[in-house]
Amino acid sequence: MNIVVCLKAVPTNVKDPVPKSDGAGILTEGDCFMNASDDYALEQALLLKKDFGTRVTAVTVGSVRSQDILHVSLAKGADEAIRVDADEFDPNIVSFILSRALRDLSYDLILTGVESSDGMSSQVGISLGAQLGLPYVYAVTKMAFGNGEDRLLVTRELGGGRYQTLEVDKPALLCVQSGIAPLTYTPPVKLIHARRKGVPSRSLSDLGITGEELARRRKTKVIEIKPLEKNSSTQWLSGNPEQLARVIIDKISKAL
Amino acid sequence: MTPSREILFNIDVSEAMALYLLMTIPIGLVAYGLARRVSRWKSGRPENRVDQIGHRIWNLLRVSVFHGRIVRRRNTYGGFMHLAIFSGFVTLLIGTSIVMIEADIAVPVFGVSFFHGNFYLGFKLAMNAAGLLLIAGVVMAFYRRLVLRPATQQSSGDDLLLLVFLLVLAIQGFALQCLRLAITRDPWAAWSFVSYPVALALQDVPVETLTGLHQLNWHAHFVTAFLFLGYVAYSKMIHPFTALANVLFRRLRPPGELDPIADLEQADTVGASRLEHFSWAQLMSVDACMHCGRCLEYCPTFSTGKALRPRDLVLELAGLQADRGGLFSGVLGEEANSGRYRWGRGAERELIGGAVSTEEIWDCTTCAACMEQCPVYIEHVPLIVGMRRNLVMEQNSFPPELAPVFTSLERLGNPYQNVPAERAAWTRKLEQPVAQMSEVAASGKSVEYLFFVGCIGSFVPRNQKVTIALIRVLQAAGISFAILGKEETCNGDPARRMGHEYLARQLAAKTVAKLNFYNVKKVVTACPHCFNAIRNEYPQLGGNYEVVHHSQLIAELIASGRLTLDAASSLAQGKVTYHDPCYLGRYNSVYDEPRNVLGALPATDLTEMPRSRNHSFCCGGGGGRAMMKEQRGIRINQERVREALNTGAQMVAAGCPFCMSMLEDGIVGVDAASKLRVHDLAELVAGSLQTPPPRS
Ligand code: SF4
Ligand code: SF4
Repeated sequence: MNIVVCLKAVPTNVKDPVPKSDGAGILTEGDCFMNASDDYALEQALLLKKDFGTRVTAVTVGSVRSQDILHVSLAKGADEAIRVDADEFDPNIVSFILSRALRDLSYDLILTGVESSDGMSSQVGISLGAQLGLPYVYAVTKMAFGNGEDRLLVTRELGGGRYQTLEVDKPALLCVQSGIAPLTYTPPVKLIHARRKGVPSRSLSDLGITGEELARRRKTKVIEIKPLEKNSSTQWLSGNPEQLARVIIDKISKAL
Repeated sequence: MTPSREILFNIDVSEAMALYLLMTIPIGLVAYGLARRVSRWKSGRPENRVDQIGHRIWNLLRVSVFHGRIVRRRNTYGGFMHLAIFSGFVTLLIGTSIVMIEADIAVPVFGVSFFHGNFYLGFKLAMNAAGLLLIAGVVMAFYRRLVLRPATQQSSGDDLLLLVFLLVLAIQGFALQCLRLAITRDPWAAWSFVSYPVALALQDVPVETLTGLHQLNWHAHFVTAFLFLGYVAYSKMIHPFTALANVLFRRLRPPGELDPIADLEQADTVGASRLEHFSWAQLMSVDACMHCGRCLEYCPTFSTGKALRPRDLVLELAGLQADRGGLFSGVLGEEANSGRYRWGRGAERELIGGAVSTEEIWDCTTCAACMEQCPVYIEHVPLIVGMRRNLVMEQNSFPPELAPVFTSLERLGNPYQNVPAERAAWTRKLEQPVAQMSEVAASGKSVEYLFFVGCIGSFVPRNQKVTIALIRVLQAAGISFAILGKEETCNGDPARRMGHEYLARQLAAKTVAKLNFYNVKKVVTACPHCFNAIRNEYPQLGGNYEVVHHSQLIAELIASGRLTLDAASSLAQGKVTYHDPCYLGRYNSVYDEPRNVLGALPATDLTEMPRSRNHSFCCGGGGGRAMMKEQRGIRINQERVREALNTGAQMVAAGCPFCMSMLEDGIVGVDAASKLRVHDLAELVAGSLQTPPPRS
């Protein structure tokens, strides 16, 4: 069995991010790290590898700055890692590129996280499933093999603290919920070795993607990025509920 | 008549010669034992320990002949005991050699004799004194082992047997002389001031009896010496060789500098999971241990009932090495941590998990109290960090609470999961703004000091107060300085001491690049861990700066009159005690400046804890321990707080943010919040500033 895990590198920037001049994404500085949610997808894939000997391939779409998350995935135990060299932010485009990259790979299961900590669109996984014509399940909290080789038993989170169990045909795409498997620390020596070895990258033209194709899909534009406005005048209120309610109503009406 | 005596009196010369030849057997055994050890040492990694020869030789003399590290103010009993045994034994050994030279070389080969006249008389005097010293030392040793029984010392059969050997040898020597004096009526007998009275008493015994006894005793003395010598290589009596070798080849780098891993990127294995992964000098050092137990005296883990006892860790390594080297020195006693050798080969065992447990490895606070105490310069911390390196980087095995710390250091550049963008958030609380390096550089100006704030001083609210206090002090003194602000990241020390050399090096390299980019010349820091790393370890990465701890800078500012302190506005009132941070004191020998600062505070009265200066007792927070759970034994910080409480002080002055938080924790733990407070030196000085800093 083969699993492909889609990962994203997110920046922990010191400087505030700004939109690119053409609005096609954002400019960031500093190091990039594995998006936390995708880390869980990777851990889940590696758990399956441990139990069933599946082959795990890690894929990312990103500039050279993002390749280190692939080193991490190899150090943790992925068998192969591929980076598609493209600096894209729009989920439509990223999922399109991924769908092309996956054409050359064989897979029974595709795992992704539920969202990225920088873009927070929660779209790439679902959109990729749709483009590949695969069944997809969002916010998966548990997975097991169902009756027969080609079925999966998948539990996903619903609102209100409920869970739903589904039987899904393989191949399928699952967006795993954070916390599905415990995160492990990347063994440093293996990471050093992976960094030494490097990871292969493929260009968009390798995948047969043209600029026009991308331009056609570019439907959003980043205009502005603002930090969360923090008000330092936090006040602690005390009193019984009635008094508290009165104070709060008073404050709200003053603010309006 | 010239004073002299017949050598080999009453003994058949050819028999004596035959017996002397027999002595080559134990001597051969010693040589074999040493050769086996040397070959084990050679299996270690290379390390240069043969530089600065002159300094090394002088140090060797200082330690051995002058007992520089053996007799110390806090180790007088053991020190003088050793001095007595050492000087007695060595003098007697030299004396015996002189007699041998006269009899076997000078007279037969060169036809010269010197064993007469004043030399002979002086010889008699010296040998009697030496014998007396030896016996006195051995008696002191017995008294300590059997009666005083300090907690840091456990006596094994080996320890006691050696003392018995020495005592018997000395007594036999005296007996020989008494008998000979009594038989020959030596006219210069009085010079042998110990033997003389006994010889007088023996004069009435028939000469035949005396001669018989003399012969018997001579042979017994020979047998004892024979056995003793044979035993040397397989007991702690090997220490004159191994310990001196270790003193000669000791590490001369600053104690606060851990050696980097040279080929980290290329290495297939990192740190130490096998003996061969240590350097040859480290392998040699563990053989130098003679179980004196001094390393335990101020060791926080030993004193609070944890698994780690530095002496036993060293002995376990030595035992493992002896087993591998075919020396039959075996493992330690049955119970773990018994601190004694057992005869017989030890079981096959791994280094980590076998000879040394992971608990021991993680217990260490890297406080260096053991290294400071060890008379033969054994360095425990690099041994322990070496094993941590392997555990962390290769085996991915460490206390689970460290995983988020490592991840946070990697991603966010601080151990506390704080966002880097918030690193300079504390500056909002400043009355007077502080310059950032980026602004200074952009405006083309320069500042004298970079204030390296550190993670704890940047993010933890209690320590932010210290940072702000120090800024006020620096501003009041008109120091030109700037901070890195959001650009600052962890200096790497916690990762390094926790064994994550790779991460530590990344962090350190980042900081060095920043500092070099801004062309920083002088660094001031309020954290001894930042201080030690930047001062002692950054040169490894091409970062050379003049680094001062804030206590040094403040002391200098007070001394030069740039800061004036006011009694009335003082926060520091009454009795204060000072806690020496390990990374400031023991690792960097900064003891006086913090005390000078406290001395300059008008209304305070400094009172010392029993364990202070280089004998300070760790707060329990070093070596990354502040970020690990303390699960075994009593809490180290509470132990220290009790010591501070006992001085009657109302305040502990600290010079380290980690010590501060450990001590404050400890105070809460022993429920003493109403009796004891902790303040950093900077806070005390800021609270006593005469004039508030001018507002710009
Ligand atoms: S460094 Fe400190 S805690 Fe570690 S063994 Fe030595 S004395 Fe004990
Ligand atoms: S390590 Fe040093 S201080 Fe400790 S017992 Fe051995 S010789 Fe003594």
